[in-house]
Amino acid sequence: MEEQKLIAACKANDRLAQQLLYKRYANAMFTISYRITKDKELAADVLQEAFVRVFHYIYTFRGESTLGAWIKTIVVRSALAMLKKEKKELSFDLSEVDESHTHLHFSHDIDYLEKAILSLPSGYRTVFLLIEVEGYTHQDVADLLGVSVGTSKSQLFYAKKRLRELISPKIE
Amino acid sequence: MEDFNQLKWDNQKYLPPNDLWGKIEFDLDYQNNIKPLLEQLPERTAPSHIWSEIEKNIPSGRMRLLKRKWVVQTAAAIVLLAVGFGLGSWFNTKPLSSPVLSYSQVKTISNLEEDQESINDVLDEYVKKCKYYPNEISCSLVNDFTDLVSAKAELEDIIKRMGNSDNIMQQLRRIELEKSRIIRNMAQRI
Repeated sequence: MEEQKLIAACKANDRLAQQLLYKRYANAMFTISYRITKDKELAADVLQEAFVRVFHYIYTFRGESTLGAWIKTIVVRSALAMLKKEKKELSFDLSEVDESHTHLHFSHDIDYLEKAILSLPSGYRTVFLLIEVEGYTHQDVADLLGVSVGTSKSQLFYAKKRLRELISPKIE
Repeated sequence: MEDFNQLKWDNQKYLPPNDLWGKIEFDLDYQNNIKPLLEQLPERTAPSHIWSEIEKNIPSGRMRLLKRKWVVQTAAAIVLLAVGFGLGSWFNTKPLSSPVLSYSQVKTISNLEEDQESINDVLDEYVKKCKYYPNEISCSLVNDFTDLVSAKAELEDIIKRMGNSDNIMQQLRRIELEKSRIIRNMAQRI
C-alpha cells in the first residue's frame, strides 16, 4: 500500500493498515532499539511501547519528515526513556568498555564491528549510533540526549577513537 | 622584501595545531575502513509476539467494523440489497396521497432503479472513502444511509407483527425519499 494511504488508514484506526505499517518498520526499529539498549528483552519492550505511541499519536503526523524518520525518533526516545527507567544511565566512562566482546575473533568483519560498537559505554554508543549509523545531526543528538552540541561532538570523537583501537588489529 | 618577511613572521601566529595531521589521518582511516562497514551492519528480526501486545494497547476505532475487506464487501452488499428491496417495494406500492413526489425525485429513483450497478458503484466508492477519511462528509452520508436502512428494516418488522397503517407507510416513504436524496447527493459529489 502506498505510504500516504497507509498513513490515512492508520489515522482512521484501521487495524490492518496498522499491522502493515508495523510489519514494514518492525525489524529496522527493533535493530535500533537493540543497539541502544544492548538487551533483546528491553528492545522488545521498547518496540512495543514505541509503536503503541506511534498509533496513538499518528494523527499528529503532518508529513514534515518521512514516516520512517518520525517513527525512528519515537523509538529512540522510548529506548532512552527505557534505559533511564531501568536505571541504566548513559555512561561516558571509557574504562567501561566491555573487553569480553572484543577479544573474540570473529570470522566476519561486520560481526566483529557490531560487537565492538556494542562494547562501547552506553553514552558513546548512543551518540555514535545516532550520528554515524542513523544519520542524525549533532543538534538532533543534543536535543535527544539533553547535552550540548559540543558534548555530542566530543563523545563522537572518543567513540570513533575507541572503536578504531578496538578493531584496528582486525582491519590492518 | 622587508614587508614580505614581516608578513611571513606574522603568519607564524596562525600555524595549524601540531596534532592536526593526526586528526585528519584518523578521520581518513575511519572514513575508509569503518564507515563503509556501518551500512552493512545486520538487521535484527523483531520477536513475533510484539504485534499482539501492541494490538491490545491501541484503541479500536470508529471504523473497526470496516477493518476487514470482507466486512466492507458484506456491508456494501447488505446495503445494496436493502436499497434494491426498498426501491422495488416502493414502486410496487400504490402511492399515497401526500406528500407528492417531485419530478426530479421520481426521475432520480427511477434512474437509480434502472441502474443498480451505478448505485453499487456509488456506495462502494463511498464505503472506501469513508474507510480512509472517517471525518469527511462521505462518511456521514454512508452512516446516514446505513441508519435509514436499519430504520426501514425496523418498520417492516413492525408491519409484519402489527399490520400496516397509513402512518407507517408514510414513514417508509419518507425513508425511501431520504435514501434517494443521499444516493443523489453521493453521486453528485463523486
